[in-house]
Amino acid sequence: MTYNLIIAGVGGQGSILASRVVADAAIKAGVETGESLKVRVGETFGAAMRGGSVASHVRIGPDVGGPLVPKRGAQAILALEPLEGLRVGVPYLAPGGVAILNTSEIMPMEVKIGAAKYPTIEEIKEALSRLGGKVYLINATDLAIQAGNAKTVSAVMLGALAKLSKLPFNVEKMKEALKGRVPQTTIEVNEKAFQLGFEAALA
Amino acid sequence: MKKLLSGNEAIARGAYEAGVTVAAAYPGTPSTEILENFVRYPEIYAEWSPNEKVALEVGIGASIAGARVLVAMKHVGVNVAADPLMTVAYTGVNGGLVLVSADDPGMHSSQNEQDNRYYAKFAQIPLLEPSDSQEAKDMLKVAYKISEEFDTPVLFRTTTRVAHSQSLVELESRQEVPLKDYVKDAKKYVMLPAHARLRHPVVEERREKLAAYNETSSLNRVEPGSIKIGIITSGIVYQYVKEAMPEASVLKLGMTYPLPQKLITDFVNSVDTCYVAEELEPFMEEQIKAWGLKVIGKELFPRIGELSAELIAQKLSGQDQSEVAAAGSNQAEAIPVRPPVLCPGCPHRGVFYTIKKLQLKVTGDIGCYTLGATPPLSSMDTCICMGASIGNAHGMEKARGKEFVKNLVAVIGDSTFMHSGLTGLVNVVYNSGISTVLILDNSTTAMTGHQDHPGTGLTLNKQEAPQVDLVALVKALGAKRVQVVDPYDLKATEQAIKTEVEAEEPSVIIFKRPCVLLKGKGPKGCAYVDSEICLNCTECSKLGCPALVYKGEGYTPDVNTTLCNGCGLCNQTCRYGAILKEDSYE
Repeated sequence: MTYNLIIAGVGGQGSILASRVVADAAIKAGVETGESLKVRVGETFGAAMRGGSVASHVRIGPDVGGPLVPKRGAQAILALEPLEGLRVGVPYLAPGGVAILNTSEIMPMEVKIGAAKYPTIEEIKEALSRLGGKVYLINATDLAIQAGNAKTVSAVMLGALAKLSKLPFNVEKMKEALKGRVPQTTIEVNEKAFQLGFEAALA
Repeated sequence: MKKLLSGNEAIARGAYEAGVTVAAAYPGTPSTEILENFVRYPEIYAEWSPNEKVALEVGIGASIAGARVLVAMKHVGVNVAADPLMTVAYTGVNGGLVLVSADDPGMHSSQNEQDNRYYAKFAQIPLLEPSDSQEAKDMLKVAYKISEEFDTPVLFRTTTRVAHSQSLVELESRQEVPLKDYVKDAKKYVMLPAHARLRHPVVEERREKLAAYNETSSLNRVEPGSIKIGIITSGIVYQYVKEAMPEASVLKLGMTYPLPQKLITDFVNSVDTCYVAEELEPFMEEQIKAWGLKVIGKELFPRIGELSAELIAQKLSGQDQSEVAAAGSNQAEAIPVRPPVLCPGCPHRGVFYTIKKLQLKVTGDIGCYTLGATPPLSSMDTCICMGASIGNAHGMEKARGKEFVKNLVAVIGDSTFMHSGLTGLVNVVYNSGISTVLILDNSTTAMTGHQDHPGTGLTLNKQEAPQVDLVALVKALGAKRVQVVDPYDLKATEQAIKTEVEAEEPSVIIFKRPCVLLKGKGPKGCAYVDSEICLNCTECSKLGCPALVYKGEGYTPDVNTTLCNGCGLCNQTCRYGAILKEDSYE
């Protein structure tokens, strides 16, 4: 059984870093248990630096197939920005899957200049629930600031993911992987952010 | 030891293990990270060349000198390098020479989605197509053997999903390959007509030999399954096929030019119905059908964009996926799009704001500044290929007269100008044009992720290098009216553009400011709005800055302090002085 996860966000938010952390955790777990756990990460990051939509597909399992998660095939959607959660969730969220959304919005230019309307959080939640998904809302941006650095949003969200989705590996592996991927000086604040996300998901 | 590597990292690793000693490239998505990864391997000399043609010429020189060489570029880069490619196909190689073409079906970051497999057929050179990172590394090593054994350059074609997706790769150690002897051989390497006529039959013979080799090559394999459905495929599409149709028989081709006729014929005859699943053009299908074999390809699969596992399942099983598609498509239309935008503090923004204000026509070029085409700046009339802006402007002048280009500018970045803008400018001067060329010099190749070029003073390995003096260069090319302007200064920007478009001779304005994302080079401070002074005139919104947010009915601007870089542009757009700047803000 392949575990399919999509991490969505806006370029610069850390969705690519987050996908690397999950992949590292899976590899660590696979090495330790001797399982033939394969990992594949697919993404397009041509636009990543300039505030465009970014989505990383992470697939973990004994036989993962191609780099992209099939439509309606994601057991989990981790959205660092709610609109991006909707964008990815609508085609990809599997019935019964979980969608974890950071509630902090970033307005696209089209919305700013009045050419489009940003849906409300309730509308986003409604749309994803209608697809048969379980939707969890987390104010990860606030929690990241609480942890000590607004840029740790992705760590908060990974904490929430570890709590809310049945990952194919132990949560400790994710913590180890996170440590290995963030800058040395920010390990502590990222760990704190992860913990806050984990706890917020409990509530 | 297994490691999670992207296709591009795996290609760099494969080159390292294969004993490559020289590599050259010009950055281009999705190929860029290949050369960046060579920094890890000090055994390999790797450089950014100013364009793909030079990169391949460097590669050919190194190969003739006896080294194993890798040259990498995006698909449209091969167009630039096509001139040397077509002739190195005649000369052949000394040390193994592999040209990586990273294609972009779906145009995630490109101006077209041309299928570069045709270059292999055009040049009559072998074509390899890996389907994941492990194969990218393994097949690259085979490519060097083929190159040296058959005396040919090899085209190694990836696509975005191979180049930019990561999968596990088993690492092996490097095999040192000594330089081959350098022997002067004019009949082989000096392509005078008399020599080239001798080489063309060699190319034809080589193709026959390669086709025979490909019949039994380990690069191809049959994966037997149901005899009802057989699928011939290659590259990333193989992954989609396996996922969509696990029960089907599959002929997976790793070397797709020249195609193995017997292997394919036997496979087609072993199944009831045979399909060819390939992205973009019917490259394999046309050849297979020309042999009189009955296969189904583009009758079923689109020629446009990427394929996917779902699409293949849907087309082959006749399975109705419309319900799934419909569930998404209705809602998808209502979701506001989020294309990339110029960053907060981007030095290009002030130039486009001014161009919009002056209502100028713009012949554009390839780089971050192509985003000047998007609202609210909406200031670009053309964007064709690297370097085209200057030639386009000159062409418009020659078609419609001087007055027409007195409200037109050509816009080109520093890296793109080095790549292929120089010849365009020489042409304007030579043919008495009056074009105004704006060189947006942000001291880097920003769009592809900050690669150095001859104008930055640094090499690929961040070693200091002589820095091209742009002012001296454009003057030397014959442009007499040259000035350098800070694009953060809106008044100076407007004044310079207004003056130069009126001038009856070629002029160049170099807008110089480092990319705001370059570490330590950005501005300091943060803007803030005094809402008591603000009259909600919305002039600042014309900048299209992501750090400016507008709330409520009154359209009052506010500054997102985590995004603002303090570039000071919005302060200058406000005629009421309502936008101020906190210089000490961190």
